[in-house]
Amino acid sequence: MSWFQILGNLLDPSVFIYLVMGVITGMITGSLPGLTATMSVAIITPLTLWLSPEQGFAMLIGVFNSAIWAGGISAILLNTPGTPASIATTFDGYPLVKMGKGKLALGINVVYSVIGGLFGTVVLMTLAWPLSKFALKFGPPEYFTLAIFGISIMVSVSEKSMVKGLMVGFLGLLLSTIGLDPMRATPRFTFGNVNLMVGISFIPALIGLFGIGEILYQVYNKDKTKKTIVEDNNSKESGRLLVNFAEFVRLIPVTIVSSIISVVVGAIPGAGGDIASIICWDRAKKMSNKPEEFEHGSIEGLAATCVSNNAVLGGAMTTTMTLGIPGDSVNAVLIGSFMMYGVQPGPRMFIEHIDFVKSTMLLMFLAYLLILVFGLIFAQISSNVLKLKQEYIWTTVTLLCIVGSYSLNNAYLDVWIMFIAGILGFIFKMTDYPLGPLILGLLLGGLAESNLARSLSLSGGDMSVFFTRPISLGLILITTLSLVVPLIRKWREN
Amino acid sequence: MVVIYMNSNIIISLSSIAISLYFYIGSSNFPSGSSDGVPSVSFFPRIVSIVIIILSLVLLISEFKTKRNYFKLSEEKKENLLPFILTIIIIGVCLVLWLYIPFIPIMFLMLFSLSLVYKQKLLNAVIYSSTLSILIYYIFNKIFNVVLNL
Repeated sequence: MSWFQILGNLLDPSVFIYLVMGVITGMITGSLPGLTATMSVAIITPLTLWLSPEQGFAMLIGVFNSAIWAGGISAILLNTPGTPASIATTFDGYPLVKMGKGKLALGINVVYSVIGGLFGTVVLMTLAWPLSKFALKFGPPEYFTLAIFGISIMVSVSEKSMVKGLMVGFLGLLLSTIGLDPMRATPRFTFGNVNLMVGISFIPALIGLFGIGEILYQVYNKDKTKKTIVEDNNSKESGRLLVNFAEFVRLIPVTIVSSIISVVVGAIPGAGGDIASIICWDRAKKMSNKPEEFEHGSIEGLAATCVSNNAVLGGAMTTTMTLGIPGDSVNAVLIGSFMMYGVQPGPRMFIEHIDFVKSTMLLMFLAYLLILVFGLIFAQISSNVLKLKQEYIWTTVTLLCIVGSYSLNNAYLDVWIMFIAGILGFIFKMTDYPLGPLILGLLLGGLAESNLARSLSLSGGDMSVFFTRPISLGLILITTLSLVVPLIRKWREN
Repeated sequence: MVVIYMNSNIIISLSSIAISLYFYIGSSNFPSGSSDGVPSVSFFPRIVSIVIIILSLVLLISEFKTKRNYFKLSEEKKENLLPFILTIIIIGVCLVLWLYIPFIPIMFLMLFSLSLVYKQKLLNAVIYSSTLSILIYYIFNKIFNVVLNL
């Protein structure tokens, strides 16, 4: 069938309605802290068993795309990332809310998520093969240097004090060593607790650091004259949902660079939206004429992370569909769904099920158009949260943080990890220790350690393995530059 | 005489050194030796611990003469201290009690107590706490199949 015939089939109300339902479901689950996109797709998959493949897959793609975008809503409004991919969205999204630009932040989240998502989908449609072949060249040395590059971003997110930022970042790396050793499965620092064998749960720690930490900070610093969390809720600026023309032009370079980086990172198996969005946020800061605005409500910083979260999906789907290797955990669940419908992802899928491949690509495209419509409506409605009395927000977010951290693994320990992380988050915030590096350390520690060990195992302990492979060497050079350039800039300023 | 001010940075530096030493010493119990070029189990925690100790010492040296209280509250904000402490206590106690009391009553209790601490009206607090605890239970348990004890 031609692309137009397939598009016609997908626009049939009996199929399209399921895409709409999927987008709405993803919007709700993604915006709730603790309910990740992976979990949303996993929950919905069994419900689609009763549907035809077109209907079922329309619903799954709707949930898949929508949940990632919606993760940014709670990151912006409540400073609590709905999904791990939206960690970096909190960096500038929440400060914009505090400046009274909550609606604008939500609007940027919708529009730039859609732009990123559409870009990723176009790449999936056109460059699937070469991109996936490039992604397959990533071996342990490349993963290790990618992790080191990610860790080097600690310097960028340590604005007030580099020493403090690095210290917190390395504490995150240290905490990431809790659990089984990646090569020999030896338990480390688990205190005999079985739940700690898999390490400190990343998402509960994230929810606590940003969610409970922020609430404790607000309770401690409550200003009696302020009823809501925003500074000015009635200005002309607070009513604006979309960027103006000048801002749109200013965001073009960031959008293009973030889209390209994210599609490539997304295509690398195991490197998901969380890593991509942090890398893009850092790139945007380095490209910006106003780097001082970053972490204080930069629209460039926010747009970069929103583009990235969604462009990454196109890259991840590329590897999933062409090679049958999941780009991230959501795609791993989606592979199961493909197989449920009798389709085995991989090279033969493009020959044996070409219509299904085209349908998936078009469904992603349509899903983003729906997200644009529903997203802007939802942004209008959800911005009303900002008009609520802050005491209601504090108690509601506390409950969501507790249930969200518990629901991930149905584990009571995760709730305590979240709570302790929350108290730590408060202390760090009060004492000017940035939270970003801690998250980076926790996130990338395992990836760095396991791939360092694998690389050295492959090379027989020869460290030159990192310098003799072109991609790995390239990443080392980029890392060195990203570390040295800010230092030179600082030295020149002084 | 050198006067050392116990500011927050000093306390955090000392805590970081203590944690790093615990990880460093604790890793000596792991199987040692490397094979086929693979670093030993203790390699990564030890390297990271050493870096943290160095960074903590740098911070300690640069801060020990600084007199700064990050937690100082202005006169008009001093009354925030009690709600802050009560927030931590209420959440902590309710998390402990959650092991023994079902989800809806314990979360109602937590929300209700917090609402009172934040000086909400009694009737509002009752309506809001009961509605939210039941709604969250319904969404997570009935729709998303999260096992929450009723």
